Amino acid sequence: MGTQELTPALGSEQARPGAAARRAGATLVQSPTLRLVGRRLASSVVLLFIVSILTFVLASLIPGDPARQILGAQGTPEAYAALRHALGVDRSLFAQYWDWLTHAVHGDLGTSLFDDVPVMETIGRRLPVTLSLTIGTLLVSLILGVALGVASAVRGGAVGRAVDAFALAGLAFPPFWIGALLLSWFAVGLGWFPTFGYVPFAESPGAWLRSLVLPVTALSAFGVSVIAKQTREAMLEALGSEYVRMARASGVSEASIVLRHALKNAAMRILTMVGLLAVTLLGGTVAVEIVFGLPGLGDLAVSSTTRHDAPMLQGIVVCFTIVVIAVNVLVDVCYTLVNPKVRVQ
Amino acid sequence: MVALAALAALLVVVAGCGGDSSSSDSTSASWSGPKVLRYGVNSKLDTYNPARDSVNGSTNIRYLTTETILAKDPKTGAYEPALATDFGFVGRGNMAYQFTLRRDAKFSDGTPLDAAAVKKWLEYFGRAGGPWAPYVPIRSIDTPDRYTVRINFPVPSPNIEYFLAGGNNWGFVSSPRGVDNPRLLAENMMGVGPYVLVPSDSLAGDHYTFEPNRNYYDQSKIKWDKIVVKVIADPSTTMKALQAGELDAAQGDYSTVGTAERVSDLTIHWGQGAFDPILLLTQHSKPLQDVRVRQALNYAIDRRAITDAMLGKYGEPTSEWVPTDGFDPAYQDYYKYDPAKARQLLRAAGYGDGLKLRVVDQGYSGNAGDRMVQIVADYMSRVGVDFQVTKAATAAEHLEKGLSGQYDAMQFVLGSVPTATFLGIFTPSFGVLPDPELTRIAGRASVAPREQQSEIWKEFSRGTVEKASMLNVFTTPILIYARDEIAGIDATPAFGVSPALVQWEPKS
Repeated sequence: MGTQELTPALGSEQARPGAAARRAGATLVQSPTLRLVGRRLASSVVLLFIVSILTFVLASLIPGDPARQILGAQGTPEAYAALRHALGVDRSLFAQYWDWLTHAVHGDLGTSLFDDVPVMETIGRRLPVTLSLTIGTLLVSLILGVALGVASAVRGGAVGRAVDAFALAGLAFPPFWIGALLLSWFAVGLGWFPTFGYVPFAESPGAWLRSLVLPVTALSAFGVSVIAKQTREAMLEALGSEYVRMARASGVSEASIVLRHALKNAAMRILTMVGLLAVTLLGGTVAVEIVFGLPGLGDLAVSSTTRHDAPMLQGIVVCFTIVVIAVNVLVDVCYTLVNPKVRVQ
Repeated sequence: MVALAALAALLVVVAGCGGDSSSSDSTSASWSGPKVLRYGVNSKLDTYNPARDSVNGSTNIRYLTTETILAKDPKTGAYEPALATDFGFVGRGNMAYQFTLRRDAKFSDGTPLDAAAVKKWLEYFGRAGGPWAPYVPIRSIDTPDRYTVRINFPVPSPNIEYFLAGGNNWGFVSSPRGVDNPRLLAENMMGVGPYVLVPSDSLAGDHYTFEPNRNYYDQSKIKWDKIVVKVIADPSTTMKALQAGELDAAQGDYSTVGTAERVSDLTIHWGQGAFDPILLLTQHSKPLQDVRVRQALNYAIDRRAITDAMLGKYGEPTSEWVPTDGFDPAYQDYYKYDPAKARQLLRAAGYGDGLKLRVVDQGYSGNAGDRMVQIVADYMSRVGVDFQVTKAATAAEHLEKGLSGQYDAMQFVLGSVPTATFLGIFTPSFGVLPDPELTRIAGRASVAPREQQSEIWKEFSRGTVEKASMLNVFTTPILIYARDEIAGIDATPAFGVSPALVQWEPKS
């Protein structure tokens, strides 16, 4: 029977080989998750455009210009004017932006005004550091934060108070201060970790991990605190709800209630926090990069701003914006996976 | 508790990971293995191209790869042969300078060093659009034979030797291939030096790795198998890296010198004269055109107290600026702290009821910048002078405001360099009060034979003190922290602001 039903269909597929692909394509287009991703990516182009304009305008409002920065105190007015012309900063802001934009859409972000090295090359060498820091911090924050939050909600009492105290401390102490303490204890005192520097993963995975432990720990204190507190509140809310009471009355095991039902319900709030944390971390790594001597993008962004290195600054902002967009899309996709209501909407 | 224990166990495991990853760089104190020098600096090169770069604490690493035309003895300050074997002024009036190059030197790309290459470099430097191009006006460059270079100047240039020895980057002669294609100069150091940069093991602005140059003409100058220079902006991290044994030497900082003193196997090398942070009193200010007001400001501050508070034994109060060739110790304490006299001078000048002065400072220069100016402002308030301080966040903002004519005074950090290098601050564009007598003295010094110049520049310095052209406060030290196993360290501003890293060697 089944064979009889399938055979004509198979026959027709063989006769029209493109049909399966078209049907698969139609299914994909109808997928709410993919539609969401498509919409997000389309709006991202507009966002990138607006952010790049804003960066250009805001950077132009900073007193001084790159020619003055390069020439220093004793540059003559003629040399100053000539260098401004050579750098192209004597043109109107619109002309400068248009020039940058037309190159950028072809994948050319220009070269630094100071070292003449292509912006893409510099960013490419520093992005892995910032991504390692950010992703490492997100993972640690998520795992520890959720674990502490769940434990606190389930066990309550002293554990709950301890989590509250930890959350308060994590929010109160800035990462660079925690970093300095960690350096004193674990790098200088115990000699377990290096005091500075970054080792690429490809060079030595073990050394890469060691170079990240202290900075990620310093950055994670805040993330763990925030996620633990949010998880605890969401879990308490879920555990006190009607459906959990019903589940308990039906004899569902406590582990299943906590992990399969309550935690899944709390996931929406946790995911929102992770998304916000990821965006915050991109800018928040600067101080930790300086304390641990890490060659990331945060430090580069600060120095490019103070030196009026517009191409480099634009490149970094575009890079950060793309990462932020990617994080948001990822969070949105996760929403649709954990919450059927979002899929339907 | 279980989670914490697991975390602690994880930390220990991770700490054990990758311990051998930097083994080639970790041999240090005993020098039993490869001789690797790990040196920490607090600032970065803006670019590998010397013609486009600024001068800061990391400039001295250039000497590893790029020998200069002349050398300067860190102890005596005398100019010595380097790439040039014979050198000196030609004729009278310091209008021409000639040197003969050694014949066995090659650039890191294999190109032979000769007069044509040096001429090409000097001409490129002047048009490269870098900060130091105006410092050496050149009329023409002749190359009478393959190894002789003669520079002709449009004006007397008494301090050309300072520049040829690396001052303001002029003397860092780089390969003609780099001059033809400056992109190459942006990607590598292309000089004649005992070491070569390893670009694949370096990250501009973060760390620089150097290895011996087997083509260098004098292999005896190569003391290390490898040199790794790490840029660490935070002085406390630098200190921790030294304590943990991850650096062998580093530039010091006033904020960590107390800790460094307590580290047993660390020596603090220091010498006076790294920087001279001063307040330039400008001609744009009507009140400051009166010499009595300028002198009043100089009497109003207790330099000893300020220096003790900010630098301790590592600083020296001074009423006089500190150029390398014209400092007169007799004038160092010329303006003794005397607030009563300051008030009296202000009254006599018609400012007994108070005076407001706008000051812009280098807010990004730490102790020598805004912190110093704020303390000076506090002293000024005690004699009725209101310092309205603007803190510039960047060098560009500082210059933009300082040169705008809108401020009465401008705090500035001068490197310890020859007097003639900074004569530009007395020009109308910069704004320090010009003085006909000082101009006359400078004119005499610029054409005088080398052996007479120092005395004339001292006369110039005394004039600036008597006329209170500036408000000097203290000089800052050069500080180097280094393990006892490193020899040859002279913490003197031999090359402008940088100690001579290339002369360091492992103690056997």
